[in-house]
Amino acid sequence: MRYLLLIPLLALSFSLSAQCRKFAKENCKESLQNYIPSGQSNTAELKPGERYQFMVTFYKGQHYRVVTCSDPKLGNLQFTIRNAKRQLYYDNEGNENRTFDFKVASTQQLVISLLIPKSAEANSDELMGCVSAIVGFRL
Amino acid sequence: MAKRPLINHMKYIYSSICVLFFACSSPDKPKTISVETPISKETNHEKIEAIYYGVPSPMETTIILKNNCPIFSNDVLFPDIISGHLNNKQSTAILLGIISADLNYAILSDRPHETSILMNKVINLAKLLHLDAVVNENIKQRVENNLSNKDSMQIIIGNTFWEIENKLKQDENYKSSAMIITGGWLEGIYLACKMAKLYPENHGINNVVAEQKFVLENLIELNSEFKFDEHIHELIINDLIKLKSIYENVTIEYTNPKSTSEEENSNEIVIGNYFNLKFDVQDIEKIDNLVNELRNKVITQLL
Repeated sequence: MRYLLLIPLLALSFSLSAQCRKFAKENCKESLQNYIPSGQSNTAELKPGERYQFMVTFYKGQHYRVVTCSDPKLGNLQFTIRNAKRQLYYDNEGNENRTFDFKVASTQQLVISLLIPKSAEANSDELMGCVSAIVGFRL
Repeated sequence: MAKRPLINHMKYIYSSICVLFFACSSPDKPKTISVETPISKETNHEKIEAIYYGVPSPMETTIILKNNCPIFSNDVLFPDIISGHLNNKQSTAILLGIISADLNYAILSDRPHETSILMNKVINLAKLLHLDAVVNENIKQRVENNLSNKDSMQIIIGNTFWEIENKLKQDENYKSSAMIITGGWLEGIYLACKMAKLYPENHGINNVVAEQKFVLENLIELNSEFKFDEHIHELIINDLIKLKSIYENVTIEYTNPKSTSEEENSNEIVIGNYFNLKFDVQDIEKIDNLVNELRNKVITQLL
């Protein structure tokens, strides 16, 4: 019985994320410029105060660019890169910098977080929009 | 893309309880992320959240491989199979991932003949997965027009595989996407192991095999989001988990206690920890044996 109750919830979740499916391609990809997408694009639908984070392996010797983008109605996107122990390496502090170019000291896993700031506006709980990040490498 | 968000949510409530319980005994495990002290201004928003996992494309892995061992061997490519016999989407997706890795390997090795053959195989497999809107004769033509320009071919193929992944996600075909990634990774590590065996003195290539420890962890996490067909689970997923246990012997030896976020020459920023991976020849042999076994199972039992 409880599984029957889950079905409409799952359907709702998928239909919500469907709105964001082309978001990375239409809004983020161009900023990669001459970097080739590595692995998967990471897209989520967030509300103010919510965060999306994903872990990726970066190879020593490669030149990387992380590109982030978000629905403008969500406000400034905060974008950070940390190691698995949460040591912070990069934080755009919610400013306009949406891309970051770097190399890694050794091949390792890093966590990229995309955070939508909490909004003081009324009805901000109803606000929802797409955020995306793409990792690219340079030849 | 958010996959099974509700299931994830429940899974991470469980994970979080486990993390809290085991945090002291295994501080290096990635899943401690949600309970470690945050550093930046996002502290106020901190809460226990899901984390998703990404795996480098087969193209990137083969670039790393070729940087460390420029030799090409036709013998290590995946054998010919009749793709018309494929009637299972997940098996087809694994094969597409495998052949894509071989295609990248041929491109990077300046092998126009093999590139052309493998490109045809990729097109045929993509058709079976209804991806012909993305991978088709136009792409093949573009690749063939650039056979003498390795960089252009890589850009075309790299972008095409990103488009494949996007198309599969748009169609909610997450399992096929995960299987393409798995197949690509499997062939990448197979090629690396073969090169390591042929050139045991090449520390770089052995290190590439060892570094796959990190990628494998993410791959297992990525696949754990899905319930695959039983035969896929038995043949592939279980062996990936066995492989992870072999990789426990590959350990991290920090060379500089401080992690970095500094500018190197030419204004490049270098981030992360400095460390070496510690392993011996037997570890690489064990990895090679299991990868070999797994690939043989794909050939004889899956396809």
